[in-house]
Amino acid sequence: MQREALVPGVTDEEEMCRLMDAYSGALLGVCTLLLNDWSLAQDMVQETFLRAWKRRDYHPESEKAWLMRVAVNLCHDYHRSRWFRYNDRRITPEETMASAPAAFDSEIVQLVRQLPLREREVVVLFYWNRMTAEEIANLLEISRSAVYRRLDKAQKHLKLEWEGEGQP
Amino acid sequence: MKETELRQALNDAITGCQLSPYRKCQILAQMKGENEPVKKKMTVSLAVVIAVLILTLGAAVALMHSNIADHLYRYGGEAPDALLAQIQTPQETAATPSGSLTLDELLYDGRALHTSVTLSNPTDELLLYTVDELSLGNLPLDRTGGDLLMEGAGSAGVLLGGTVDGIPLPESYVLYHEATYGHLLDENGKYLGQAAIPQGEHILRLTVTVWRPIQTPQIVDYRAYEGENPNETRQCLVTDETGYCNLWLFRPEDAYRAYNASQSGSEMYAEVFRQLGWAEGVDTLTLEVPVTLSSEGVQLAKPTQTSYQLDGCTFTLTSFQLSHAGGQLEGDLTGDPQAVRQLLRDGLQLVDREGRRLLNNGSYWGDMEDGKPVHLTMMLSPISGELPKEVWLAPAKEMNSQWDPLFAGPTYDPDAPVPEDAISIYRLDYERGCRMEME
Repeated sequence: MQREALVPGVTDEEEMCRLMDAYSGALLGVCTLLLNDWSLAQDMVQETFLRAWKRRDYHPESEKAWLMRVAVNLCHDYHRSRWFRYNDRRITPEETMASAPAAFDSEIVQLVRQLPLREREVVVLFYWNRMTAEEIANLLEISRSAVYRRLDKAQKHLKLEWEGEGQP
Repeated sequence: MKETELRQALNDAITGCQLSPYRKCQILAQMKGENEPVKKKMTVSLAVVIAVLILTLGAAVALMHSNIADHLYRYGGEAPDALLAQIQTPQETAATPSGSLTLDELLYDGRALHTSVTLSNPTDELLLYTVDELSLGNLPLDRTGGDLLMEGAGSAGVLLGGTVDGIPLPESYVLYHEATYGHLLDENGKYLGQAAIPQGEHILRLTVTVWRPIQTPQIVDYRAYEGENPNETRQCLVTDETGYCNLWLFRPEDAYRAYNASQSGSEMYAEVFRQLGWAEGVDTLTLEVPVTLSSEGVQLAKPTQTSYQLDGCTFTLTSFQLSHAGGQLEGDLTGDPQAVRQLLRDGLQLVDREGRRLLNNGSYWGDMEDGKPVHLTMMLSPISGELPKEVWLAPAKEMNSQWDPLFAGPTYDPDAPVPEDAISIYRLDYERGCRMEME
């Protein structure tokens, strides 16, 4: 018998394991890019799954999109404390990313990591997660035109050449 | 830059991430309510009992119970005597009328510095405590491992003593922390890079700021926010029943945007907290403890060589440290790019084959560019019992989460047949791997 789709809407712990196996890596990667902090990203992924568990009676259309939304929002919220982290403790991105996979140090990803958060999150969601401008707007609770503006700025910062495929 | 290059670079970075098995276990344990944050309420009678026990057993050679050991072996196994013997118990306290801070335990495992600290509120008054500094000599320590991660006036604190909405909050809080490196700064405070935890004699310094709430804190259920930005200003501190205070979730960015880096953290937060009606700084607890860190007596497993042959490629160790408290392995994979990719895809694991112990606690690797070595890093779990005489680095040929109750938690099936050669949830392909002899 086919199981009912889960989480959120997780029906049991086995399903939670399946979700973690399926999505934890991608969530960790996205959180790492958004936070520029490998350890914090792991905390955010952990928190994301705990929240999914607590909301297991909720049945979204797409479990992946829901998890991504929670994770992105958690990262977004966390940025409020970045001022303290960088100025009071004098911690810099170099050290918070020291344990992250080396692919985060590639030239292109470095450029993405240097973008302002607002631009970085739309770049990650659009180019990696292949979400539409409307989906991103819904996720970030901003207007579609704001998504376009941020993408436009990010493309200029990255000196991105359009190849057609990704035009929003 | 081309669009496809951007997509590919992002994909390489994101798909190269893996959540460690222990982190997954932690999530599952928390789901079941088995791994609540360590927040213990210590009553006077309990403190007396503990004091008597310590006095009675004071002469014992090895530490019988340890917060650090409890933390390291929280997923099973008993702390070996060799590790317990290495744990120092300074029991040094800094106390003022508004709080006390005690360094209970200290362990240097040859790489990382583990500490266990108790924060207590001796008054009946409700007070907020934030941990604002942790350093060894002039070296600020990494704060990303353990409870200190989210502490600090800018991120989180703990309310101790008194009651909120009729709910009594804990009177004390036990912190565990693991620092694996320090932050090297020049005289102007410019970041120069990471530094290993230095051996020798140092002053371990821990600073805690004590705050008095201006308005009565409010109990909330953090779960109600579910990751959505509540985007609201709170006029009072917000806590849950454990006393944990999330200080960033309910604060609008505008509240601190106006401040500049020339102000110290405590000055800035004192002003922000006052403006928000949250709290005013009333005291600072500073604990400075002379400590001696030495790897002498630390049992370490060391490989006898640095180069090993795997299926289609060579693995060259660049560093390897394994003690009872865990460790790290790093090395480069060189050779046939397809073979390297296949090994990583299958999942390289490090195991103690004879003792049937999985040593890998999460791994990650760098770019896979043809012709260039792939750098592999593997975090190693704490080990109870004897350190292994040999370990194997090999790819998995089968994985089943029903085989190991410790690893897989709720998916463990006691009725599932477990192959004889399974270790944790893996069967490894040893023919494609290598044996590393230890000394």
